[in-house]
Amino acid sequence: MEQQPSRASHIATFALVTAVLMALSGSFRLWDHHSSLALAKYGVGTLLCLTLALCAGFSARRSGTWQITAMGSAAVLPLVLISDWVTRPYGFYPGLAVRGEILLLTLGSFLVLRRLPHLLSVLALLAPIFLGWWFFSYVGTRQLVSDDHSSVFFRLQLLKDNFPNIPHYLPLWNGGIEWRDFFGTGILNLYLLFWPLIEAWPLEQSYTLLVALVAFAVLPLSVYCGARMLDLDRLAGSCAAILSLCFSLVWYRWVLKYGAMGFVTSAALVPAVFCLSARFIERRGKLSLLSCLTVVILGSLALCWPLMALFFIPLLLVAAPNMIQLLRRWQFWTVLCLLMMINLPWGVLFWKVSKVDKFITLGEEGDALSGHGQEIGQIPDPDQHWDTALAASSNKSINFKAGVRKLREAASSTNPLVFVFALPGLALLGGRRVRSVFILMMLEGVLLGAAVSQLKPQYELERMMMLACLLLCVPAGAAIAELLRRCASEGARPGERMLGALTIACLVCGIFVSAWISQNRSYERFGLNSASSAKLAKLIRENAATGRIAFTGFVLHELDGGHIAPLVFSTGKPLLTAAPTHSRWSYTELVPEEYKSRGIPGIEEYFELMNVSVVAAHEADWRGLLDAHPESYLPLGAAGAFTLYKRVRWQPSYFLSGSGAVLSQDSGGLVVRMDSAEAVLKFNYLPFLKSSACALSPAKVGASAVLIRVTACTPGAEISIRAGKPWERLL
Amino acid sequence: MGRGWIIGIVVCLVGATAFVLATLFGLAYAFYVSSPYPDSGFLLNEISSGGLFTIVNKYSNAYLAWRLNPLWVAVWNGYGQEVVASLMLGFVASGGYLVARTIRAPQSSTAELWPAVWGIAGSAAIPILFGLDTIVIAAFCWLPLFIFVLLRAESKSGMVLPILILSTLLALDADQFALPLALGGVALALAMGRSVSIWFAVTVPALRAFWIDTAEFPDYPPSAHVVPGYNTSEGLYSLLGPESPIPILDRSYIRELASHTGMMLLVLAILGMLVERRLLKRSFWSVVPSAVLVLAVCLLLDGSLVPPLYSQIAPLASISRLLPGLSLYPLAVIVSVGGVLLASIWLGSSAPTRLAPLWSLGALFIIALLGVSNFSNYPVMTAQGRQDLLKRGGLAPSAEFISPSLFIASQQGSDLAAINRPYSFGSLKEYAADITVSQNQSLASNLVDGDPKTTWYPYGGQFGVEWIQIALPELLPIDGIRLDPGAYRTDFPRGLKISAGLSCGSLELVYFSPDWQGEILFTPKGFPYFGEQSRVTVKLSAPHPVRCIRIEQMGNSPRFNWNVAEIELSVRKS
Repeated sequence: MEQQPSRASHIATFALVTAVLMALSGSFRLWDHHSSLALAKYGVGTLLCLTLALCAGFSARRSGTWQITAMGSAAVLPLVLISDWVTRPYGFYPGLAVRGEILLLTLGSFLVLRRLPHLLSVLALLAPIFLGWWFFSYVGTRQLVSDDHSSVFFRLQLLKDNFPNIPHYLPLWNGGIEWRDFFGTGILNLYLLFWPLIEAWPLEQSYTLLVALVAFAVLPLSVYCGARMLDLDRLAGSCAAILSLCFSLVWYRWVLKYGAMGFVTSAALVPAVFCLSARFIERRGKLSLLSCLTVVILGSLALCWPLMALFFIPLLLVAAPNMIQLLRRWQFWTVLCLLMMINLPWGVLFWKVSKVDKFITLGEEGDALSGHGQEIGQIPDPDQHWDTALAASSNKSINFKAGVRKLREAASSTNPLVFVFALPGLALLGGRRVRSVFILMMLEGVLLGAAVSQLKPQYELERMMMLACLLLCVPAGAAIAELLRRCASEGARPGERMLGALTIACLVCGIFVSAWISQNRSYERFGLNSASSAKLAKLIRENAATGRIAFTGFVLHELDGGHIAPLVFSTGKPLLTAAPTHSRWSYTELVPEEYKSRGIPGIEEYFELMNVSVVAAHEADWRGLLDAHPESYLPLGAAGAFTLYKRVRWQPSYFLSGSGAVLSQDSGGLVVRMDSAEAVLKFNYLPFLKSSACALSPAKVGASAVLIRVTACTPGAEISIRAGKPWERLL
Repeated sequence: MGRGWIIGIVVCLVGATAFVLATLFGLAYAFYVSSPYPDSGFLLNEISSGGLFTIVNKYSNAYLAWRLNPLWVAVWNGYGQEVVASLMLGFVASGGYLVARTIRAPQSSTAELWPAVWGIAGSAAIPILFGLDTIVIAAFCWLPLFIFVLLRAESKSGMVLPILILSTLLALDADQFALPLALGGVALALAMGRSVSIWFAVTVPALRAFWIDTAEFPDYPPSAHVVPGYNTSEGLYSLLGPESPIPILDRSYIRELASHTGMMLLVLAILGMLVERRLLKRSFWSVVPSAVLVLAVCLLLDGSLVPPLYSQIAPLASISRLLPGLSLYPLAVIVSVGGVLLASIWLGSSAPTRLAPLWSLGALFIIALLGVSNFSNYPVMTAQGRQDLLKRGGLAPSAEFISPSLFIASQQGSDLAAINRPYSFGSLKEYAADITVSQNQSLASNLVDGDPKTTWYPYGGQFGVEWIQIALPELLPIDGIRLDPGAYRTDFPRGLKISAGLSCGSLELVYFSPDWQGEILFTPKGFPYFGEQSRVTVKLSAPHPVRCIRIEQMGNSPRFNWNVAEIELSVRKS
């Protein structure tokens, strides 16, 4: 018969979990964060709780009943709910009033406690649908565009048009640039995961659905599968899956507001990969072929966001002592070979074309990349120009206080259920190695997020703490399930039942809070496309003719809060801007200084060089300058923050010398009809460009522009100019 | 013919009679209150073909889209809204009668009349207490019948179809309230020992909660407000479903309503429990009085007896946030109506006892008291005064008022249309006015020095005794006054009274606002709203020829000074 944990064990667990929460919380105040009644300050509360935990723990150990109990942890919940944890700005909960909802749901849960284990399994299935419904009831047919969403949409469209020929030449932006940020941003995982959907439907209709699928379906499914792979039962998996849907406000910040979908997709897959890998190590490589293939496929998708590799270090550390046994297994070699076969080619290509080494050393002395250090061509590359501002923000050493502050900020925005139940949940995970992996992962998350992030701000490693919390949903789910089984049993006391009901109320309330966040009502507001962006696209379509449209400077969030990149698709016109995605950390001009310094004549010369027909400006100084020269710039109208001007003296031609016509330009290259044997095209030259018929070479124009010189052509011939195949570049 | 048939015929006859009488009462009431224009508890836009209309409640300032089932829409289009509301009241009465006699079957044919009388009384109490409000009446018209079929469900297996039909009707007419009402009905049936399938009974109302119509709001700017804030903005959100972009419910009305009806129901519940225990020799905690008690406690927790900070976590506020669409209409009204109906059902079911008429009369007295209070200026229905103001102002229900701006419209009356025009404010410095102030006379020159950084302020907070008096050297037609607080944006007057006249000895009141909410501004489409409270600009509807102006601060706010940096006047020269 299973031994019941002693009262001392409950007390010790209660004190231990309270100590952890107090340490994570800093000042643990009563009722709300304005309250002057602090339950713990200067670590006194934490120390007292730790002392109590030690005393009770020793007492329980002496009597042989020492256990970390889910019930003891659950007893912390009332303390959390009357504390300021639920009222902090940027916390997970919407405010102090949420206590009412939790009380109400506690009453409801108490009434149906016996049936809750069954109901929770149903809820795990219904919660994603519920969240998806409310999300789309708010979003409707609009598209997510805030911050990186627009860039992600753009990248997916490029992948849809060009995959597998990536990186490729993109003539639609900035007179032709190399587009290669598929690797660094990890967007390939989203594309590959939803390839049929992306190919079957127009992306503008399916994009928001993809985001919702990752947030509300892939994540809970991954967590559920992860829990099941660790031999936890269905109830534990369901609890973990539900918890994963409401584990943190920061998760929804990254999904809905920032739109870092490469990272988000990778993070959503990590629980399944991580748990399966932990099982792989626990069983010393004894896995079925199907499981091995799952590790390879999901692992490869997760590793599409390269930094995710850091998260697998604990697995290697725990596996190291058993490496010899692992080496004897065919499963190990199968997984290793397949992983290398899939990931090595693109990894090497990524390393080669993206200049990863420079990015990694950014912030170290002498290694900061300049904003104008272009190697070829005047137009900036999307990934290459990390501004000195970013480099300057990195520290040379780790500040302990700043680290603690980062940790506490991350903890505040996390659902307290994760912290309350993670500790007893870890004890419930089967296998010493699995527990070790989880503990190391947790420590690594804190180390990377709170400490290393100060040294390398360009990685935004703070999100590693969020990832650690996400993975803790698995043990926390196990502990909640254990608690629920005990509370729903015949012998449960009213107090225990009440704690069980309260826990489930917090869990269910979390789903409501997630629905609240997904309806754009939290602090983390996300943006959707609006009428003003449609108006801008219409204005451009109607006035651009065959020329390019120049945006006078860096457009950060002026277009519905997102980046400007996808405007080339909605207008069907080639555009110019300082950077189409967020690759600048401070304002940058489009027109190079050598032209701008000469005033209107210089600016006109540059616009003519780039075949600009319409100029769009959102900056007051640029608008003032263009308004002051009506003889050169005719106002066409305004849309949102932008005012459009028609160039009066525009000479429509993409040929700087020679003659011919640009027949088409799309996201993969351009088709030109040559009427002369030689010509210089107003497109940037890049060394990997290939022509179907003529010879291509660089033509330097001015101090910085390097355009395409086409030679050895047959007049009247149509030639296409595209990037060479990726394997050619690799080899 | 067996006894069962006779009882069945009697029940049908009595039920039909209750239906007819309640309908007739509803019609009479509607005609009584419908002069000079339909003056029920709401204003509404034209009903659409799908039965959808936007509606604003004159009492609570609730503004929402409401949809009726097609049958009601046909009646509405044919005979008018009063007939629809009256027929709905008829269903409430007959349903109430059936529920009451199901809870406790009458022992004789004469006793059969008691549940019917109380069914009619319960339905009549709704318009008397809460106005002829389509939302309330439509929400409740099917509920008693729904509860009736739930209570019969155990004994009659053929009740599956009626439950389905009535839950569907409930979902169609009660809109967002269908789910909480259905849950309440099921809880009542379960508490009475009936074995009802919760899932079966609430599925259709639950699905209805996912399709809630949203009203189109005027394009108020983010800083706008249309009702006083009462410092409770934190709990005024909705976790699911439609949400108003700015707070629109008049919380003071809701809190007063909740506390008064809560008290009334509390008295009724305790009376009921005592009757059950002492006279009927049953459990003190019998189901219906206990349910009334629960509703009464919920109302009291939502009412003015509990500070707003804590009533945010009270059950009604929490349910309003949890269930879709409930934050758009005061749940206190729905719960109050539910409590009154339950109380009337209990009174009807307890009629066969000897002393029941006595208790019934007592309860009737309490309801009548509140009914009377509705027609007086008793605080329960403070919004009644607003309705009268609207009428006195000669304002017909037009588009601007079928909006959350109704609160402002009813406060301002006909003045509102007159102030929707440009004003030209100029500094008082131009007129060499003689300014005297209640305190700090040495700083009075700051009021006209043209420097927004220098201000006049009385000592230590606002206590309702501060004033500024301006004596003008010439007669000026003034139609607006601006009191700029400068950089001290929180130091606006909490209440404002402005008197003006031809001399400082004979002043007349031209403006009075005991609770300053901000300048009245208008959206491009003409919907009025309050601007920021720090913009202290008073617009008068017509110019007043004055030589002396006295501005008095009426509010009480010890923590905040009244700061005035500059005084500006709008002089309207014809």
